[in-house]
Amino acid sequence: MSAAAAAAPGAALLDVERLRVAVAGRTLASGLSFAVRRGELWCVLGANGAGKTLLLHTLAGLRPLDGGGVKLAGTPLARWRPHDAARVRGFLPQFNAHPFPMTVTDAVLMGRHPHLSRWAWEGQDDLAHARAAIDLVGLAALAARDVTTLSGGERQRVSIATLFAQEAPLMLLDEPVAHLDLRHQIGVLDQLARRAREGGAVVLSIHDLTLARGCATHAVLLHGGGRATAGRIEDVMTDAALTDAFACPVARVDAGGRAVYVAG
Amino acid sequence: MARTLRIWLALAIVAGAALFLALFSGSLSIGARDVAAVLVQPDGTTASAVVHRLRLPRALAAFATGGLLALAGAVMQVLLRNPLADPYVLGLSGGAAVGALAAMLAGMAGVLVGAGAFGGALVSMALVFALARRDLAGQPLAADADASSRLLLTGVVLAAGWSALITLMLTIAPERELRGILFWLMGDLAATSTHVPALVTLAVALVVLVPAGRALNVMLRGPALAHGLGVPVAGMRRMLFAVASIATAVAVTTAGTIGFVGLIVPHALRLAFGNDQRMLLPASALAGGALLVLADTLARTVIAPQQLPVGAVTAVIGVPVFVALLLRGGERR
Repeated sequence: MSAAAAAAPGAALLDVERLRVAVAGRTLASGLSFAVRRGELWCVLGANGAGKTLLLHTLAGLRPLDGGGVKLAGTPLARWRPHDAARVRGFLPQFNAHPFPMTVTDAVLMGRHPHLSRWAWEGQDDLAHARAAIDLVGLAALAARDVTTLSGGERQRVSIATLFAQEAPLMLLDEPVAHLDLRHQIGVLDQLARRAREGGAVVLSIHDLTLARGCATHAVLLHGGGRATAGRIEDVMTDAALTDAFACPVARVDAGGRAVYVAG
Repeated sequence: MARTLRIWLALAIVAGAALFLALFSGSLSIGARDVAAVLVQPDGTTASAVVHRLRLPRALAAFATGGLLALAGAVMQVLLRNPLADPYVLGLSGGAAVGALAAMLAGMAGVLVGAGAFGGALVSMALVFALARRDLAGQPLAADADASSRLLLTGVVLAAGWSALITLMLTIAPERELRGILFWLMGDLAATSTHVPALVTLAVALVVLVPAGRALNVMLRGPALAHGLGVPVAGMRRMLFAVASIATAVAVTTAGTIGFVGLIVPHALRLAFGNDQRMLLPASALAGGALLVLADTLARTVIAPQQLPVGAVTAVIGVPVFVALLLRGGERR
């Protein structure tokens, strides 16, 4: 099935229906329904162990469904061929190891894999996509460097650039800014928000509530113990709900027109 | 692409030169021109018989075995995402050795020892697959670090078990069998009966692996990221395990457990030419073949008429080369 045939016109990029996420007998979310449409940026919020990573893995098709359904561009996940699915949705895992030496450019070029047929080699066009992605994460000066010699945050940006080079309309990211310095946290989130505005969609997990509020249009809040809420950011990120989910007093403060979240 | 072709061409020339050297080295002195002449047009002379019946089959067996081991090593390194993995890391050589030794102790020779080795390797492969089914094929793929190290540990434990069995068999083996067993364990091409299965396996393995080259590159980034880029990770892992195991089993059946080729060749090529599997897999086959042809030629000529087990030669060549490459690689960073 080709990507074009599979992508039903007008359908949400991601349709989550009565989803249940469970691991080792623990239910982390149940009855969770939401739809991610073009133009939206969703944040997945929750305490450690609340199930953010498992939810993202489930949405990415990395693990079998524990219950409910997930549709990618109108077609159930299981019916997608992997190579076709990768042209519609990209995924950034939380931990990205680089055990083998390779240049930053070669690593980012791998993002073009789903766009190439079996025998094709990366061409000038793919190289242009890779270079643009490298520029977006501020790694142009390191393009020829070996990834194994980079710092943790730089390596994370290599993985993010790989995702950008993939050019998938739906991007799922597990804690993309966790290892980045402040400037690059904001830079990466700005890029993701721009992709959403330009007709893509983003779902990312994040711990910094202030940054989340600054970039997201929607949110999923995992309370732990199976309760989860999903919806527009202003409806989900209420002080009461956050305080409950993080088991710690959280309050929103207005700082010159910007929402800042203070804990404790 | 052009660079890849240049690398393959250079390695093919080296391999051809190694094969030619093997054909005119030996106790019967045959000039290079005569070798070329009888190679193209066999005649009834002793020289022709030596080249066609003795040296050519052995050189081809060495080439195919070396190619298979290097290819299997490169694949294991991708499968386990560990640059120091080798074809024997999942315990295959131990299973093969137990099978071969059992055949030798039962008084068998030649093809039957090979059959024992192949059977033992297959048993070992089946055991790894059964024990590590979850890590090779199962979902979820997310806990990637766990899967690779658990697979590795499964292999290490199996290898230890096989090793205990080998020790037991050596203890009860009659005195006169020990030399043959020792040569088999070190890896030796003198007892090789045929080179055809190894050459065919090498060709088939390349045909299966080369189209998957770009996907293998992506798999080096880990299963979760590879899945995100559209690689069917579970199926690829099963395929890699099967191809590497069968390649290793055939190599071990052909020539015993020759060490270091499968570890050093892919590693050296990676340090020299980079880590694109599309280039690396065929290059490993060529370079591994060339290395083993040279090592075997050395093994049978250096203290002729005595022959050394070729595994001893690969170890003597391999260890310093490996150390040098590691140190050079370290400096470059």
